[in-house]
Amino acid sequence: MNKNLKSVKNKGGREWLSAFIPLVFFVALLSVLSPQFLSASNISNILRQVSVYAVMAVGMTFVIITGGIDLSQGSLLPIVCIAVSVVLKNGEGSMILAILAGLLAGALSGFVNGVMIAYISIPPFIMTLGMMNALRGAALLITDAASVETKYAPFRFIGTGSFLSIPLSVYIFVIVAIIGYIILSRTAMGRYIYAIGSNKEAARLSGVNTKRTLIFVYMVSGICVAIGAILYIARLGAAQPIAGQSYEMESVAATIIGGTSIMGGEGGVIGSILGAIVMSVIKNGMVLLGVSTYWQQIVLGIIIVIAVVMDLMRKKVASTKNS
Amino acid sequence: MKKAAGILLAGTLVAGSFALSAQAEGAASGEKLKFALIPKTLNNPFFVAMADKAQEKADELGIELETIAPPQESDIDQQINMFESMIEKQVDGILVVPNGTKEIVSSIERANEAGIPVVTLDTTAEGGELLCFIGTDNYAGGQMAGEYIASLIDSGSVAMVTGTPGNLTQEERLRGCKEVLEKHENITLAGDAVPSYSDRAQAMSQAENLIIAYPDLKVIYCVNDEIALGVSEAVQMAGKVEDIAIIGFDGAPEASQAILDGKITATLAQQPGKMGESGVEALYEYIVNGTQPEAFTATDCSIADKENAEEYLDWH
Repeated sequence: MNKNLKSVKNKGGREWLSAFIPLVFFVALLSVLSPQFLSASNISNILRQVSVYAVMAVGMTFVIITGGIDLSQGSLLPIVCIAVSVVLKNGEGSMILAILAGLLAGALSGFVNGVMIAYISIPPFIMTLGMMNALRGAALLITDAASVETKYAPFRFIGTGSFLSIPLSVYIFVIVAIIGYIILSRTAMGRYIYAIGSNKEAARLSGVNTKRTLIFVYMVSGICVAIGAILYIARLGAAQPIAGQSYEMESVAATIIGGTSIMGGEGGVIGSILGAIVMSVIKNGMVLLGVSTYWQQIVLGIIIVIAVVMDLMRKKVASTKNS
Repeated sequence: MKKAAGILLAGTLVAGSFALSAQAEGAASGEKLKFALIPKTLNNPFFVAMADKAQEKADELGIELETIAPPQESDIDQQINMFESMIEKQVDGILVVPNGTKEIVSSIERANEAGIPVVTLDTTAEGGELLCFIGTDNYAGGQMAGEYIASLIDSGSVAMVTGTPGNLTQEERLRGCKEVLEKHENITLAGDAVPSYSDRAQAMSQAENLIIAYPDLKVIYCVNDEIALGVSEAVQMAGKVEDIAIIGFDGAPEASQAILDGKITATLAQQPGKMGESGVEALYEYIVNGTQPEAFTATDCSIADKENAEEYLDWH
């Protein structure tokens, strides 16, 4: 491996602070203001609510670190739900096969995105925007606008059950986060992903197979969406073809709040998970306090901007140190 | 360059063949009346039911009905483009469920100039000359929901879950219900209505939050059935099916099934099919017999609960 590439470290920096600081602030504030906030059932609710977004945000983090974006995430969600529901029916089908079918749908969509972006050089924004529309249309077409469902109890348990009084979906998103963290910070593939985001041409010249890496990244995003979608339909027992609308934006917001640079090359999944949790804590807190929910959007907007400002300041400090 | 020319040629051919087929159709159909139905979108079973019933009525009356809708409810300008192209096509009447109640006005005025009668269904426009409006009186529906809730409980708190804040239809449903409940001293409102963007998962999350925030919660009123179905998942998970009543709005078949399964208490059933049917009929009567319809016809809301939900397993 070329020397240049080794200098591109797996950046496990402190970018997650941009999510951690507001998280600490809101948790402290809400603990004081609302007696119910720190109750076990409320914490468990928040974590369960965050699981779909958190898993999707892990996938989005991979994509954004390469300097790309995956706008098709939200539209992919109902497609996966349809695949799961068609295979599983109400328990007549195999649960393992249903889950595999869902994951396959996610991986396939990501593969198409990745191939088009890597080989035909379609800008990620455009490719995934196209995919977003196509998948949404496909979901409506397949279902004729009706919702799909599954009532099979063992499957529903994934989304509704608990183990040691912690929701199962929380274990799943934590496992996904750990796998994501390991890939990004401990493997060669992780280094390639950062390298592409820092400078794609340089990465290619230093021997990174940029095409394969990009395909991998979009497939990760698709698979993460599939896992999120499985949690979604397991939790609700049904999904509409218009489900997941604008979830990609929640996922982007969580990633940005978590300190991943929208320009690529920097960031990590820990920040994104914390970012998703911050967003859920705010939503939860607004209801507990009975605050008008218009504030929720204003507060979220401010946090996103602050996160980006922190990102820019870090870079400025880093560049003055280097020079 | 060659490619561009090829695309251009293909485009011209396609456009040409469309024009030809349109002409052929026009000639073949002779004096058959042509109506257009433009619902908000067709990704919602509510509007699919409206379109289906309108089509049945049109077939019965020997009318050619063209149904076209934008992909999303938020596509205001796209719907306006569709509306204008129907004016260009010189249809004999237009039925529309406007996505933009103000934005559609100038297009309706253009249809008026062209002498094409316009009927609004479900949601009306804030101007232009309309032959009539046929839809649910959402405020009255909200009141009906309020009365129903007051008949269920003597005291305790009632939470409200809305879709998108600022949506006129949903605000009316909230206002009607709120006004009735405020007259009952022992019933309190659990904060402002919380938004769910009519997304089942978000509705479920909000209901989980509400259940924690208001321990004495007795009823959750939802401005549509999608929300009610999400809320019901949260109530089931919290083990509070016996303690918390859930009221939906729409009368969707899926909600009626949930009522029969004991997951939802009741829903305010609307009749989208009736709206479509009556709309086609009103246009037909006006054009053929010159009958002027009522400016506003309310298709009734009715309570669907355990007693009668069976009747609502299909849209009315």
